[in-house]
Amino acid sequence: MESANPVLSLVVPVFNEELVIDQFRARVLPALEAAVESFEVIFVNDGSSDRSAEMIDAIAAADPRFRTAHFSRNFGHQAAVTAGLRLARGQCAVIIDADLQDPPELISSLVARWREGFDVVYAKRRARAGDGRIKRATAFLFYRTLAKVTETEIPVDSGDFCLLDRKVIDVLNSMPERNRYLRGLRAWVGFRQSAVEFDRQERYAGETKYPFRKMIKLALDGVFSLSKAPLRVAMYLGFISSMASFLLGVFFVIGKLTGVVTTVRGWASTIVVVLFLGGVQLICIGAIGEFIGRIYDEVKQRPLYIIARTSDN
Amino acid sequence: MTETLSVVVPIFNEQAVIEPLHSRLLQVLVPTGEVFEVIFVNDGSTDHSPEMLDSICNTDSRFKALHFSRNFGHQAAVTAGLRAASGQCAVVIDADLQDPPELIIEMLKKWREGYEVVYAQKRRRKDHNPLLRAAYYVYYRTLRKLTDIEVPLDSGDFCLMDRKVVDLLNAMPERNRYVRGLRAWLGFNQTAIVFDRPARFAGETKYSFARLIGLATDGILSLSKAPLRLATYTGFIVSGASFLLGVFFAIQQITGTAHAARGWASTIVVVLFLGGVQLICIGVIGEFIGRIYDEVKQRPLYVISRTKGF
Repeated sequence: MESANPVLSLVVPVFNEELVIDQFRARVLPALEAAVESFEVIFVNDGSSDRSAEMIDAIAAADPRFRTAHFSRNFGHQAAVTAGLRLARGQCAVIIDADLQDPPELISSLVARWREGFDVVYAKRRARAGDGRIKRATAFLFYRTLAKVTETEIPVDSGDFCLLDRKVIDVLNSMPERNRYLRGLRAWVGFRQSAVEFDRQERYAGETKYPFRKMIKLALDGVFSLSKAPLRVAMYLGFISSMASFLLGVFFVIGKLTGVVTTVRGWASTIVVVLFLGGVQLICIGAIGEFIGRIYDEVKQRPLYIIARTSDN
Repeated sequence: MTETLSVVVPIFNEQAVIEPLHSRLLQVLVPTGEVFEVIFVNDGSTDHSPEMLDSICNTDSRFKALHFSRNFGHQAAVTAGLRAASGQCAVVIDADLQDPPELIIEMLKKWREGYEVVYAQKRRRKDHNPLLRAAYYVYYRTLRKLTDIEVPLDSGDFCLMDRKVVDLLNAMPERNRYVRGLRAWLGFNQTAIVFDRPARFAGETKYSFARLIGLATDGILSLSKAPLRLATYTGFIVSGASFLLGVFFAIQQITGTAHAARGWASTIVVVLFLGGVQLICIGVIGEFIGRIYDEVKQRPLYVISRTKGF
């Protein structure tokens, strides 16, 4: 029996990874033994349909430092990470993908930063070897846009691979919202954060679990869970459109009086009316959007603030 | 033992004013003879403020500090301070010394007279250009017109609140907080102390124009549903206009005085009518959205200030 609270919990979401699990275990064990004195590895099986479930159970049966949790069906990567963090007992937790694109050897550098006093240490990709040029360009664009649009600053080119201190895990576990975007929430909670750079490897084997469709969904989760900017689009467009209708109206009246502008009869008034009405409708939709954004703020039930420490301790 | 007075001071990059603030607070609070505590809420400062606060707290147990994990904003800091306060009354004051601490003495006097909320009302804003001053004037007057409750004009967060009021504020879970609006919303016996707001002692103002706009929007949206009703009103006006225009065009047609291009009259009437009806429908949705917002804010339905015979 291991001691109740290991230093480090490794959270590994597993979805149809039968080809890489043995290799993963072989690489992760020496990396962990080099990094910390005690650890646990939590495999969260996100409804795999291959032999992953039996394989991780066999590993856990042979070595008490490995634990497994099986979802009743596929709930998605973010849910698996959340479950892993809730089950983690360590003083810190590292989230890592099973596909070995996140090198387990980096864990010791993450732990070193943690021991220096950082509460969140995330791994930052230097280059994406093996990704197509289009995927690399979209990833680049996505992170830059996200940083511009959201009020919270999400570190560029960082994925879920990170180390979290117990304080941060507890805060994340207490946040009940459903559309979770972990790397956004991780930035949102604050605390002392630091980055460790690394080169992302190609998948060891098997297929990528994040096809383009899923990438889009993750991207949208990122934007919508941290920003109200999309809701403001209607408001801005509305103001522009009403202003344009107003200026056009003035322009047509002057044109008519001076006889400079000649159009088909009735066209000027029609276009001004259509633009004006459309603009006002957009502004009203924007007002509704503003309230919907606030309602979303309320129902997410995030804490209003997070106290990192007080002068009492 | 519990304190009589808790002073809540949000701090965001205020290293230049912390020392003078500390000594001014002591000068004011010690002679009152009250038992007091000062709660600094460090809202994710990136300068030397945290260490300065900690060293003050280490030497004097009446001073306490909370440190946020990052910058969460002024209103969140005020909320955290009020939740940590244990005094029978609490004063919220800005660190920049634009709120003169000397006013606390007068606030305490009013509180002893039985007022539950004593807020400071600015007479003049010396440091602002006429444009900003005009903006303030218009904003507070608009807020008063739009909201169903009366937010006192020209008052900021600087105020004293009785324990009863602090407890009620702490129990309100809503997220887009606008403390001076909530304070007005709660009611109780309120009174104002008028003072001249001096220019900042040092450092830069923390409320940039964008932040002021954000705060102003929070004020209106957290207290009023007026923006949502805009759609309904314009919708009725537009459909009314389309109806009148339709009648007008029909009369023109019958009397043979019509001189518009063929098809124009019917087009414009249809566009206006449809647009108007759409606006009314948006307004109806807005009305429901406003109610949902009311529900999720989870404010108390009413506030009992005292009871008799229970």
